[in-house]
Amino acid sequence: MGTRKASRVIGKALRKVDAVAKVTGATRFADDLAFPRMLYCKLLRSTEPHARIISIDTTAAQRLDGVQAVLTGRDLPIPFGILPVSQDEHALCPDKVRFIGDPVAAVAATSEETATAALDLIKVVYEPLKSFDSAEAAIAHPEPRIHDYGDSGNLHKLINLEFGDVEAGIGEADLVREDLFFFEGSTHLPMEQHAAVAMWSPPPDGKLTLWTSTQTPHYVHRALAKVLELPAARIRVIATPNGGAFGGKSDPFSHEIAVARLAMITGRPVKITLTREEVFYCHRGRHPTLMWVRTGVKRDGAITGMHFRSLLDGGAYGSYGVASTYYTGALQTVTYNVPRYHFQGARAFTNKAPCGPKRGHGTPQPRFALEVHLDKIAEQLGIDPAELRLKTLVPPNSLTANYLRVGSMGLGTCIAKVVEGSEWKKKFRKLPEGRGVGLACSSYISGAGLPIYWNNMPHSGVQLKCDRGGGVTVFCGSTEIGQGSDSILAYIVAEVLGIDPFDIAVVTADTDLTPVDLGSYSSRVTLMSGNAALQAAERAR
Amino acid sequence: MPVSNESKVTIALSVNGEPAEVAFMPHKTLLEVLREDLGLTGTKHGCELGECGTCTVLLDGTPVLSCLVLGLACAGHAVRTVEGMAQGGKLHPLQETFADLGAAQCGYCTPAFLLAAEALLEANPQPTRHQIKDALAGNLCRCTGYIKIYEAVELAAARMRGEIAEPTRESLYGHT
Repeated sequence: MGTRKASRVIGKALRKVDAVAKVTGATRFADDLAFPRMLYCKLLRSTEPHARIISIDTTAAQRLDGVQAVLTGRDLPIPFGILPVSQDEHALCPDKVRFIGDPVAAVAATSEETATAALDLIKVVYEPLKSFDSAEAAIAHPEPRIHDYGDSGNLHKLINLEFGDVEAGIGEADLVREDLFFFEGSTHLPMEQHAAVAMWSPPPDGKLTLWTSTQTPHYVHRALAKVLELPAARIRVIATPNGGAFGGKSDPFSHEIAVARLAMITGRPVKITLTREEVFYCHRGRHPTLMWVRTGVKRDGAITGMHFRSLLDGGAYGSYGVASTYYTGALQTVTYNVPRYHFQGARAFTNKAPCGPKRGHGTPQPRFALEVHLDKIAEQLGIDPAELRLKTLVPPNSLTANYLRVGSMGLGTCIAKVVEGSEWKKKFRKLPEGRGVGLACSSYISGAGLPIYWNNMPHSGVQLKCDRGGGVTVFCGSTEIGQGSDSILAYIVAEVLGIDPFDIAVVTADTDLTPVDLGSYSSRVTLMSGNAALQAAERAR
Repeated sequence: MPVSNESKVTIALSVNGEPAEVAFMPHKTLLEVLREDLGLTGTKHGCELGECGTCTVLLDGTPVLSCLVLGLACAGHAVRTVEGMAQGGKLHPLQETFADLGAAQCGYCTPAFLLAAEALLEANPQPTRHQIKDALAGNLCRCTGYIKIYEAVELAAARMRGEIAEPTRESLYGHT
């Protein structure tokens, strides 16, 4: 290996490759697309939180002038879901609704107004069931079950992981503290509402194209193939640039499947754009979480053992919930040294919009609990909370109790700089009534080591086309959601090839044109697609 | 049975400095007329309830929420959208600084911020940070945290006053 040359591109503050398109309004988001003879889709959503569907009468809607097709659950009977272990969603509910907003019918009409008017003509008869609006209520009532699967009653998932003898560890402590915390939950609110357009090229082509505002075109591709019973090779998913996502566009959604089927039935392009209200039904936001933590510490603040329990309000479907539940327990050990650790997690189904991943998937809730808990311990021990954290840091190049490998460890330097820069020692507990300073730390994993469906294939791929005229095009399945994933491809390739990043064209997120990338989630894109770009450029050089 | 007995109306207005005639159903908002009938999709929608500012355009130079303005009310008036900002193949100074400072991330709220900022600088070429915040208070952005947007407006304002201004090291690289 030669010595590393000073970088020309990486580390420089450059304009993003899509910046000009974004400041001129030229970027084409999903709802900016329009095609001749395009139809507009609207979804009829449940008005009941939990009910059996007795009947759906669509006759009047189908007779309305301009209505081209109406779908109900029986037209799309195959279930789907982002995780292989929770294939519990239907594009349109076949027999039961599980939250207010659950889609029950879809209409395609020549105008959005006509499609909306048609929804009012659909008659749904519901038989209401007892509904549950919190995780505690769902635990208290195992019947009626919201789903006919899960670890017990209305509990979707139960986790119990113990690393070392935690009770013995807590027994060695000078102080044992127990606290209970509740995190209310929150939603992503990307400025762009979800939107999708489907187009069907009839047999002998038999090909479907879907443009959609998604973070995960590859997973949408798989879900469409399953539900529509089409070969994956006959489906092309193009993720349009996302107008913000934050985790809220990483599941395959009912509206994407509905427009695809409607395009196949009508032979015309079909578009759907959710209203802001409907975005809240899609949700998949951060789980409301009840957390109990019990920690033993020595007089100097050293932790001897920790027992952490989390109860997640999952809402009506699985979504990423199993992963979210593990995440609420995984990372407590990576900042402060916890030699023995016991985690118990539970996720309940409730009759609310389903929860999922949102920015730091499953970790902001327990982190809030842990940091406040540590502050209370510092208070009881009479130790400065910044000092307490510095004393208990995980050492570099170590393995945590739950087998996570920590490489470098910059948190101590970070805390020291914050303490200095904020004049912590002058301010902590010394500011006037009603004012104060506090300190909290957090950590997250970059890279998502496992694909959603476990396999040994690459998590990302990059192809390069080198033109006779000196131009280079980068092809990658990664999805631009505003985080700069298109730009890093150009920067990395430019760095290696010694060319100007603005001489590089970038083609991304198109399942026909680009190699698979698993999606823009878990802070994985620069690590995965960046390394693919690096490897491709080094081979091309 | 048709849903509505309405028929289209035609109005004349100025769009980005050019005379335009457009026919549309009379219940449509300016937002819908721009996007659906004039093909100007640079104007975005975030809530269509007047909450988020994403659909901001300039009506006779004043920022308005195009989701709350009826298209019909714009007859004889001048509308300016993001598509009208770059002139003669050259970006507007605000577009330059938004691009260079990373003030546009996902880009969805960007057209609205640019127009609101342009109206501010037209009225007040040397705004304080507080006045910039005030002028942009009706626009939501979920990506940037706003700081880059304020810095981009300040840099563009300086350049539009004829000053030779470059981004500060801190605004490009943070505290180092």
